[in-house]
Amino acid sequence: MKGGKQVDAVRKQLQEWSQAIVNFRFSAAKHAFLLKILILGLIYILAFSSRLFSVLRFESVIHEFDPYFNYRSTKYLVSNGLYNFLNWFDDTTWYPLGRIVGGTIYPGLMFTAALVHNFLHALHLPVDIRNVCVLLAPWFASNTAMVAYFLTKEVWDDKAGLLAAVFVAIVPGYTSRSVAGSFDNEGIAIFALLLTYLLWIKAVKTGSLWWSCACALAYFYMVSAWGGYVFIINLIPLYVLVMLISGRFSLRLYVAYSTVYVLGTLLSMQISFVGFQPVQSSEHMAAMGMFGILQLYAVITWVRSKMSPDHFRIFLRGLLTLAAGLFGTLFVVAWITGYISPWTGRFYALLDPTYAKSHIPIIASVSEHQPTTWASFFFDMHILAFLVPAGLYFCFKRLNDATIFILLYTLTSVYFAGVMVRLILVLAPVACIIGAIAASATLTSYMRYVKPSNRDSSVFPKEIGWGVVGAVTLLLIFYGLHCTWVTAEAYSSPSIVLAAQQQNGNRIIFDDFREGYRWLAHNTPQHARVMSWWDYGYQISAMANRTVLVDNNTWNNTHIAQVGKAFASSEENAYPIMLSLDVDYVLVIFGGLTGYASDDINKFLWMVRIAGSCDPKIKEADYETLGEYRIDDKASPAMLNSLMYTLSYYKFDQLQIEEAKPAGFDRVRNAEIGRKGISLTYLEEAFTSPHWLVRIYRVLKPGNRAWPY
Amino acid sequence: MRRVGAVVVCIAAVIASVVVAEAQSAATNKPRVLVIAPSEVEAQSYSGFLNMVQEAGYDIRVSKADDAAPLTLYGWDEFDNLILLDSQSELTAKVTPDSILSFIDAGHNVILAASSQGWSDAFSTIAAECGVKLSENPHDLVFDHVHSLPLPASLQLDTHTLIEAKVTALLPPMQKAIPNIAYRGTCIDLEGKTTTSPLHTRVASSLATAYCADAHHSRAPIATANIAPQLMVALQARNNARVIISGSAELFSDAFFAMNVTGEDGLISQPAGNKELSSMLIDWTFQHTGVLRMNNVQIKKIGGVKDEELPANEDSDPMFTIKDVIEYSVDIQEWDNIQQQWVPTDRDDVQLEVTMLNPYIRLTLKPDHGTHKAQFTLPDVYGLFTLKIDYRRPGYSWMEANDHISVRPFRHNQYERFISSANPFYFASFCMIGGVVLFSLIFLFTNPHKQ
Repeated sequence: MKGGKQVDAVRKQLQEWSQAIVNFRFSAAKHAFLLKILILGLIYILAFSSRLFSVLRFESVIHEFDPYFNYRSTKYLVSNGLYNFLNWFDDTTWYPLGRIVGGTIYPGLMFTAALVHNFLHALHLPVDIRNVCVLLAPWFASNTAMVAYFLTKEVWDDKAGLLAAVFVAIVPGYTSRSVAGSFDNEGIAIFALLLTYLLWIKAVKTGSLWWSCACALAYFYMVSAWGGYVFIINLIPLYVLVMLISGRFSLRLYVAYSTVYVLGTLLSMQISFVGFQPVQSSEHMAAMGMFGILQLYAVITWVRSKMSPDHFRIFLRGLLTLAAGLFGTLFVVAWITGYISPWTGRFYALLDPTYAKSHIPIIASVSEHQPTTWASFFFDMHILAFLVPAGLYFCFKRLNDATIFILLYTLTSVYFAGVMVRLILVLAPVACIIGAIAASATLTSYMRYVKPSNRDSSVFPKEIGWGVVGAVTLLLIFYGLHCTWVTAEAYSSPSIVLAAQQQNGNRIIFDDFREGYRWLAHNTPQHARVMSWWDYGYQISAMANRTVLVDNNTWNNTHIAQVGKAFASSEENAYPIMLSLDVDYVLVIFGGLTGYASDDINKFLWMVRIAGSCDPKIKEADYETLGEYRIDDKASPAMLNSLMYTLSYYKFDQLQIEEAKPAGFDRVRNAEIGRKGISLTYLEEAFTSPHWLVRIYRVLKPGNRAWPY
Repeated sequence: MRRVGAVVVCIAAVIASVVVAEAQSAATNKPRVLVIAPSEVEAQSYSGFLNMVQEAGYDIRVSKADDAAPLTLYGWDEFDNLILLDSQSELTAKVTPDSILSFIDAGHNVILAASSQGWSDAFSTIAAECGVKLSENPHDLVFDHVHSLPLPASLQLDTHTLIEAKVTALLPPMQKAIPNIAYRGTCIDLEGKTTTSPLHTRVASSLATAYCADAHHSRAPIATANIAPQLMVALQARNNARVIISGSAELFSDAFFAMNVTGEDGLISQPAGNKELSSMLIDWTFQHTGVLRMNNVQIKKIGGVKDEELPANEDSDPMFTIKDVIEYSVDIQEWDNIQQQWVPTDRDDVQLEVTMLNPYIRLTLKPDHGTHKAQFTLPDVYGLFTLKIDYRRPGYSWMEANDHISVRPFRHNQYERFISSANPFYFASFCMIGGVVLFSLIFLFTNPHKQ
C-alpha cells in the first residue's frame, strides 16, 4: 500500500511537470535568443564540417607548401619549447646560409596550435600534433563566423549578423585558405583581423579604455599571426582621418585611437620578426603620423574652447606651421639617413599592380600575386559580388561611426583584392558582412509586406513582398549550393596527393610526392643537400628531413637566382655551380607523363627570369623560339641543353604512353620532346616515382683522374 | 755418369722446387707487382730496373699481355702495382684498359711506358683517360740534332733520336738534382683542361732544341710552339693513386742505364741519370715516399658567448655561435717506409679556409709534433661554414678535409643586456616614471576649487 501511494505521488508530480512544459511559453525575446543560439551553434558546426572534405576524401594531411613549414616549426615548438623555438636557427634550409626561423616568422599560428595541443594533452587527450594542425583552420573558421556575427551586430543589427555569420562560414574566398589541412597564417589571421575590427568598433562606440586595450591585444594577436596586419595599421588611421575630415571627431575616437596605437605598437614590437618596423618602416608611418595629427587636433579643439576666435586663428596658424615644419624636417632627415626603410616590393606591387612584373620576378612568379580576374571574384564570392554594392548603399543610408568603418574596410579591400588574387581573402569576410547587411535590409523591408501589421498600411501588395523575399531566398540557396560545390571541387585538394579520373570513371591517386620525399628520407645520407626549385623546399624539409638550398621563404633572391642559373645552364656548366653549393641530389618535378601542369618545365621560364635578374648573361629570349615557349624539336638550343630539360626528359623518349602518340610525348605541353637519347655525365638517375612526377638525380663526385672534374 | 747426372738433376730439381716454394711463400707477404713486357727476351733487357723494384721489397711477376693474370680476381686484388712496358699490345686478354683504369681508381699505382716502336689504341686510351695525350701518330719520336747522344754499336736507331733530356721535377724524397737522362721515345702532353691540372706533374722534358716528328716518313716537325716536348708526366689521382706515363720504355732498360750524357766538362762522360730517375719513380709511384695522411680533426670552442644546454641532437652538425673563438687542430702523419709505420710530420704550409660561399678566413696552421693547430674568431656572419683544408703539393699525397659547422646568431639572452647607447632611453623611462608620480601627487593633493 505504501509503495502504491509513492507511485501515485511520483505520477502526480510527473503530470504536473509535463503540464508545466506543455504550458510553458517563452517570452518573445527569450525565444529569439534561444533561436539565435541554436542558429549560431549550427553555423559553428557548419563552418567546421564544410571544411572537412579533404580529410574525408584523402586523409588527414597537411596541404600544399607553406603549411608544411608551419607544421614542421610547430612540431619543433612542441618538442623543444618556447625559448628554443624563438632562438631556432635552422641549418637545414638555405644551405649554406641557414635561416633564423625564430626571427623570421609570424609565430602566432604555431603558438596557437601548440597551445591547443598542450591544452588537450593537459586533459589527457593524446591528440597528435598533426591532427591539431590539420583541424586548426576549420575551428578558427567557426570562430570567425561568430566574430562576424558580433561585428555585423555592432554595425547593423543581429539579423544581419546571423546572415553574415552564415555567409562567412561558407564563403569560398575564405574557405580556400581554411580547409582542413591548410595550416597557414591566413587561417587564424582572418579571425584575428575581424576580432580586431570588432573590438575597434566597440572601442570607438564606447570610448572606453577597456575595449581599446582589448582591441590592442587582438591587434597583437593579429601581428603575431600574419604580415597582413599592416592592413589594420593603415586602415584604422585612414578611418580616423576620414572621421576628422567629416567632422566626426570625438573624445571616444581620441581615446580609442591613442590607446590602440600606443599599446598596439608596443605590443607588435614584441614579435621579433616585426622588431622596430612599426617605428621605422614606411608602411607604418601613416599610423604614426595620424597619431600626431590626432594629438594636435585634440589640443587645437581644447585650445579653441578656451580662446577668443581671433587669438585662436593666430595660435592655429603658428601651431600648424610649426608642426608641419617639424614633421617635415624629421621625416626628410629620417628618410635620408635611412632610418625609415623604403617600401618593400610587395607593398609597391600593391600600389601599382604592374610593378612586380617589371621589377621583381620572384614576386610575380607566384600565381597568387597576380591581379584578380572578374571570374575569380564571382567564383570566390558568388552573390556577394553584387550584394556588396547594395550593402554599400544601405551603409551610406545609415551613416554612423561603425558603418563608416565598414565602408572604408570594404572600399580598400575591394581595391587590394583587385590587385592580388590572394587578397580576396581580406575582402571575403567584409563582403559577407556588407552583403549580409544588404540581404538582411532587403528582407526586413519586404518582410513587412508579406506579413503586414495593422498599423502599417503597406504600399505594395503582398505578392511583391513574397516575390522579393522568395528571390532573395533563392539567391541564398544558390549561394549555399555554389559554396558547397566550390569547397568540394576546387579547394579541398591537398595538392600533395593528386587525384585524377580515369576514362572508366575510377579515381586514380598520384601519391608520388610523398613517395619521392620518403625515398630521400630513407635512402640518402643525413646531411645530403638537395637542390630543387624553391617551391618544394618546405616539403623536402618537412617530409624528407634533408637540407635544401632554397625554400618557399624567398628571402634571398640571389641564392634562388643561383639555383635558377644551375637549372638554366647546360649540364656541364651547371656542375661547377652544384659543386660550389655542395649539392648531393637534384630533385625535379615532371608532369609530362601524368599531365600535371604545374611542374618544373612550366615553371622553368620563371627560373630563367629570376636567374637573369642576377646574371644578365641568362636571357629569357635564348630559351624561346621566336617568342614562343616550346619543348619540341623547334625549341632553342639553350632550352634543349638546359639542366632542367635534361633532367625532366631523361629517358622519357623510351616511354610510349599512348598508342597513337610517339614515344616521348609530353602530355602537359602536348608535344613530342625535342631532344632524345639524353645521356648524363655529371649526374645519375637515383629515383623516379611510379608516375614520374618526382625525379631525383645524384650528383657525381669529380672524376678521379680528371681535372677540373 | 749419366745416371749420376740424372740423380743430381733430380736432387737439384727437388731443392729448387723447395726453394721456389719457400720463395713463393715468403713472397706472398710482399706486395706484388705485375710487369707486362712484350716478351721474355725484352723483359731481360729491363733486368736492372726490375731488380730495383725487387730490392724495393716487391714480388714481381713478369708476363706477356696475353698471358697476364687479372689484376683483380673475384673482388680480390691480385696485385698492388702494375708496370706496363708493352705499349703495342691491344690488351684484349685479362688485363684490359678498363681493368687498368679501375685498378687505378681502386687506389693502385701504375707505371705506363710507351715504346719507341709505337703504341696501340688501348695504350693511348689509358693515357688519355689519365689526362695525357700521346701524339696522334704512333711513330712520332723526339728528335734533337744538338743534344743527341752517340749511338752505341748494339743499337740500330735513327740518328738524333737518342737524345739527352732533363728531369724537370723532383718527386720526394729526391733532394739533389738528377743528371740529364738518355731518352728515346715519343713526346707526350697534357690535354685539354688538364694543362693546368695540379694532379699532374711534368717529370721530364727534352731540351729546348728538340722537336717531335714522324720517324718513318716526313721529318716535318710537329709544331710545338717553341715549347720543348714533354717526355714524362706523373699523375696523382684524387684517390692518391699514382701513375707515371713515360714517353719511352727504353729509358728504363739496362742499355740506357749504362749510357753517358754531357758532363760539366762538355764531354759525354757523365753517367746518365736514368738509374736515379728510375729509383725515384719506384719510390714515389709505389707510395714509399711523399705519402701523407691527416686525421683526428678537432674543432673546439675555446671562447665566445656562454652557451646554454641545447637540446641534444646527434644528427646535427656541431653548433657554434658567431664570434666564437675556435681552435682547429689536425694531426698529419707521413709514411716512413723504412720503419714501415706512420710518423708525425710537421708541415708549415698547411692552410685552413673558413668558407661559406666565399672564404671568410684563411690562415696557416702552426705545426707542433705532427699536430697542426690554429685559433681564430668566427666572423659575425651566421650560416653553415666549411672548415676546409685542401693540401696539394706536387709529389705529396693530397690531403683534403671538409668539416661543416653551423654558426648560429646570438640567442636572445646572449646579447649584452645594458648598452651605453641606450642611456637616453633609460633616462627617459625613469623621467617618465618620476613625472607620473609627481603629477599624481600634485593632482591628488591640490584642490583647484579652493580659489
